[in-house]
Formats: sequence, structure tokens, C-alpha cells
Amino acid sequence: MKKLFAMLLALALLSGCSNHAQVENQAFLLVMGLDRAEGGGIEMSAQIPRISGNSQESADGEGNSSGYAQMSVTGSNYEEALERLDWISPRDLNPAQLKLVVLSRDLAESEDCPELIERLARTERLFTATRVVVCEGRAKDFVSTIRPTVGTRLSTDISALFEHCIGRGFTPRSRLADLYYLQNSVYCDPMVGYAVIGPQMQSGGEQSDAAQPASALSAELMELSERFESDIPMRFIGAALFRDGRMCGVLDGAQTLCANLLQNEMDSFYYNFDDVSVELIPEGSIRLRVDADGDAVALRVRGRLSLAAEEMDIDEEALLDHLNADVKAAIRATQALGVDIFGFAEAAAKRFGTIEDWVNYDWRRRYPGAELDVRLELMTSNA
Amino acid sequence: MRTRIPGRSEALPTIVAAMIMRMYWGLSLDFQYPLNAAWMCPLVGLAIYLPFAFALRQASLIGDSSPWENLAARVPAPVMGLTAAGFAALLIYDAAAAAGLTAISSNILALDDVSPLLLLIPLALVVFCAVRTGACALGDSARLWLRMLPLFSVIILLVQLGNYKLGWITPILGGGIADILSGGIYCAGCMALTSLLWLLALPDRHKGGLLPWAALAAAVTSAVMFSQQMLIPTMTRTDFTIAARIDLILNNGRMTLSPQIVLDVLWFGNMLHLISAEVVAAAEYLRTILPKLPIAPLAAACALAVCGVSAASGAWVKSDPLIVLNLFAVLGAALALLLLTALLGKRGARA
Repeated sequence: MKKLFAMLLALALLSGCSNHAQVENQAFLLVMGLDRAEGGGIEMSAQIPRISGNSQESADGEGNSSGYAQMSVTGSNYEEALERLDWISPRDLNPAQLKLVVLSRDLAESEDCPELIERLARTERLFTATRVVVCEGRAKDFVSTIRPTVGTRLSTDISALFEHCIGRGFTPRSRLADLYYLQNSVYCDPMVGYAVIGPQMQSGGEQSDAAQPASALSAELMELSERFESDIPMRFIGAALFRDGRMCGVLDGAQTLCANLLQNEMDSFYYNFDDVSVELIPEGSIRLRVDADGDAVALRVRGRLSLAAEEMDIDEEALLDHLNADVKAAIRATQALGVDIFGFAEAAAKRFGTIEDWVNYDWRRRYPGAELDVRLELMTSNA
Repeated sequence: MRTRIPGRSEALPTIVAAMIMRMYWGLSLDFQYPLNAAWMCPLVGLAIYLPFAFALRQASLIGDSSPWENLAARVPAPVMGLTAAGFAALLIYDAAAAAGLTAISSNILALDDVSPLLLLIPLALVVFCAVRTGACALGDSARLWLRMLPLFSVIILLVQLGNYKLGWITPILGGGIADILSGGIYCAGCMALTSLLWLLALPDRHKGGLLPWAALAAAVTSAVMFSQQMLIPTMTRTDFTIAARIDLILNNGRMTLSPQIVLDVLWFGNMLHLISAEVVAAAEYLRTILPKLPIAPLAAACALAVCGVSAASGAWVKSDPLIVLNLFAVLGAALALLLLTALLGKRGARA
């Protein structure tokens, strides 16, 4: 009798298994694009894997061979769009495997963006480690160009692509968590990756739109794209800067490289100088310091780098001057926007006793006018 | 029914594990006013807890049995009964808050289509089984958890090594000295509450008092908070949902998900220790009032009461910081009163 009672009680342990989820019964959201819908609201685009034996032979609506289904819905807000996406999805929509969220620049710059980021971060099962990028043009178009280019799985492809881009230094880490938590923090501001569709891959009416570069960055990218051919349409280069939850500017690839360098994200990097690409290796951490005397604030950058290939015949002094000037230019670009993405805020906060004192200091007001003192040194073989 | 009053060597690992859990949960989710200086609170709390530990030591020295039995032999039964009822109520309230948090954590992390209320049922069952297997088994389980902790901590540290930002610890005093002191009082309350199991523990092969182990728990919690605060930037917003706050500590906040399984094992494993320890202690205190009742129905009633209180509040008994802030004063005053009564009664008896 006791055993029977114990067995009956043990049935209660199955309460978590009542709605077990089979992999094939889930529509795993891998890429999500978010645009402002015409007439207001949100347009949500998504890619989900088909997970079927003949997925490679199946065709999407545009006649392209793909193992991924693309869907698009509009809703008055994010939740409604997500609900509708779940409704049109052939299975239960599951964002646990979401790898990339693409925000259109238009939406990222809008006043709806802070609330949208909040809602994204609060989405059930959506892990905040997912990447976020801002794209020029429509996110829907960008999402439609994303296909696994190396290997067969889109999820692995996106992760590997980002690791590659981050390793090169031209794009930041771009995690939703960084965007969400940093925008709510008392320290520096967040940045995420910036993306465009290569002009060679745009066609028809879209090309005529894209032919009008929306920023200096896209002009630079278009110029760059004209020098090579590739059937991989998306380019992740540069960074979108956020202030108070809204995008407020863009850094180009070189400036993003400097930002990554100052944030100590780079083990080594390639730097273009005098028509030569040299590999530089940071020796130890790049140190940021903030000195304040009354209202005068000075931002100081100190660090040592070494050349990966010392046999190269390079004018080291000119290289250093060039690099220091680039770093200064990147910092000045952010000062002009009033956005500290480098971490000077953390360096400045050290001088204060409490968070209240630090917040009252009003770093945002002081950062744009701060003086710059950048001294990156090159360790030579004689050093 | 194998449950019996635990020996000190069995109670000790359970108390240390429960102390770590209670302080960590409190500082991470409920009492966030010290902000990035929260790592100092367990250390400040340890200093505040010293008189309580001293009183526990004195209570264990006035007789040959557990501190509680020693006091019961010298203090009038109605006073002991009233104190026992108060202790049991506090323990059940705190265990209900822990049970609700455990159910909500499961709900957020994986079982989002299952009601947290439903998740309380297996939790009550598991806690009852844990209590039924006895304090000895609970102590062994907690000892295993404590041994895993350094290994798991090394894994977590290594995975996240490149993500720590020392700058996020500054400004060093965070919310300010007043909030650090309040956090210290909060931690002292957590330590005092979990120490109620020590009050019941019978002397055995273990020599020495609870204080060195409370110091270990405070040091571990402080180290965990310190490393956590280097991963998450200080935020002054107070309107984060419980889901967002649990995401910060269990989904590793803004970091890679790879250590999530380790964090989950540590979190859920130790939550069960905390709830079970509090249920064991509550059942034992209730036996002071109802000595003729066997421990089995009392333990079952306590496990059910824990989940009932939690369910009555919609599975989320928010542990009120004000209650926990006053906990140290209440528990300290109760213990001091019992000790003074016992000591005066002893002197009176000698006279």
C-alpha cells in the first residue's frame, strides 16, 4: 500500500513533462528582422529551419533552393507581431535558438527603439546572448539575403561569421545583453554591429534605393564593394552607436577597430598603413585614464603594441603617428555624438566614492569637451 | 521515518550551504540597494552576526545537549513554545519564498508553459522526501555541493575570464555606506535564520562552534558577488522584472551560455538544501509545541505549508527586505532573552 502511494505521489514529478517539446514540433527562430511597418507598428521577418529530409530540394517562395523558410508579419507592436508570427508558423515558435536580430536603421533611430529593446530582452526563451545588428535599408531585405554560405547550418554559419568579423576588428561583439544592460547602466554606452547589403546583390527597384548611400559608411562600403565580386550579399562592418536606447550614429570599420582595440577585445589586428597591411599585437591591456581638474577633463590612452612581422621594412614612427591619429579620430567621432563607448566612464568612476556621486558628476555632459591624450607605443626589437 | 534531530557534523554543511544560498539570493534579487558594493555586505554581515554566534556558543555550553534543549531545560515551557512557534513561522515563510523562487526559476528557464503553481507540487514532494531521508542525508548532499562549488567556480571563472570588467566594481562604495550597512544587517539576518538549525543540532564528533563556518559562508558569498558584479554593469533601475533579474544570474547575464548548466546545478541544488533545511528546522521547532506528534506528519505539514503559503501568493512570495532587515534584531533579541532567562534561572537555582 505504501509503495502504491509512493508511486502515485511520484506521478506529480511528471508535471514538467506534460507538454514535452519534440525538436521536429518546434519552429526554431534563427534570424529575426524588425522594421517599422508602413502606417505604424512593427514588421517582423524571420527565418526558421525546415528540418526535413529533403530540405535542400525544397524551394521557397522566390524559387531559391533553401532549407530555411522565411516569414513576415506586421503587428501594432512587437508582442503582436511575435504572436502573429507564431500564428502563421507551421509549428510552435521557439526563439531559444535565435542567433541574430536585425533592426532597420529607421527603427533603431526611432523613439520606439528603447521600448523595443526592452521587449526583446524580456521575450520568453530568448537568450540575451543573441547578436543584434542594425542594417541600412530594410531589415526584411537583409534577412532574406542571409543563407548558410560555408557549411550547411545557418545557426553555425552566423556564429562563425561573427567570430570572424569580431576577430578582424571591424564589428563589435553585438550581444543583445550588452545593448540592453549597458543602456541601463551608469557607465559607458552600447554599440552593436552595422550591416549593409552589398550593392552587387541588390537588384531592381531596391538597387536604385540602395544606390543612394545613407551614410558615409555605406558610401565607403559601396566603393569597397566595387573592387571585388562575391555572391555573399551581407556585409557586417562598422558599429551602430546607441544613446538612451536609440541609435545616434555610426562608426566606420576603422573606427570600430579602434573601439575594439581600446576595449581590449583584440588579440591582434591588421592595420592598413601606407598601402601595406601590418599585423599589430597589443602587449598587455590598453589602459584608459581620466584626469579631471575642476571642469577640465582629459582622456588618456596608454598602451604598447608590437609588430607581428618585425622583418618588414616599415617606418615605425609614421605608423605610430598614423595609428594614434586614427584612435583620436575615433574618440572624437564619439565625442561629437556624446556617446562614450570606449569605457572612459568606468575609468572616471574610479575617482568617486558612491554611485550617487558619480551619477551627479554627469559624465555625459563632460565627455564631449574632454581633451585627448593618446600615446600608443610600438615595442621594437631593441626595446 | 528516519528523520531525527541532526548532529552538529551533519547540520554544519547544510547550514553553510543554506547561508551561502540565502545571502546570494537576497543580495542578487531582493536587496539590491548596495548596488556594486553588494560584495561587501556578507563581510559586514559577519561582523554584525558575531554576537549571535557568541550567544549560540553560550547556549551550547550551558548543558550537554543541543543549545535548544539546554535552553528548554532552564526556560519556562510557555516561553519556549512561543519562541518555537515564532521560529517555525519565520522558517516556513522564508522557505515559502525560496520555494516560489525555485518554481519561478524553473518556469523562466525551461518550463514556461507550465504554471509555477503546478511546479510547487513536485517541489513539496522532493522537499518532503529530502526531509524524510533525514538530516544526515541532507548534510551529505550539502557537503557534496560544497565540494563541487570550488570546481564549478573554477569552470565558470575560466569560461568568463575575458569578460570580467574590474571597472564595474567602482565607485567602490556603490549605493553608499548606509546601504552597505543595511545589506550587512540583511546578511546577518539570513545567517541568523539559517543558524536556527544549529540551535537544534546535538553535540557529536564535531568540535568547535559555528562562527568559522559562518565566516567561510560569508567569504564565499562575497567572492561570488564580487565576480558577478564584474560581469554585470551597475544599473540603478529598480523596475526590472524578476525574470530579467533571474536571467542575469542564471543565464549568466550578458555572457556566453556555456556555463549555464553549471550555474543551474548550483542554483537548484542549493535551493533544495535551503528549503529542506528550513523545513527540517521548522518541523523540529513545532515538535517543541506538539511533543506527542511524530516528526513525519509535522514534516509533511511543514512541506505542505511552505508550498501552500507560496501558492496562496501566486507562487511568488516576495521576500520582503524589511522583514529580513528586522530578522536579525528579532532573532537576536529572542535568543538573547532565552539565554538571559536560562542563565539567570541557573544562578537562581544555584542560590
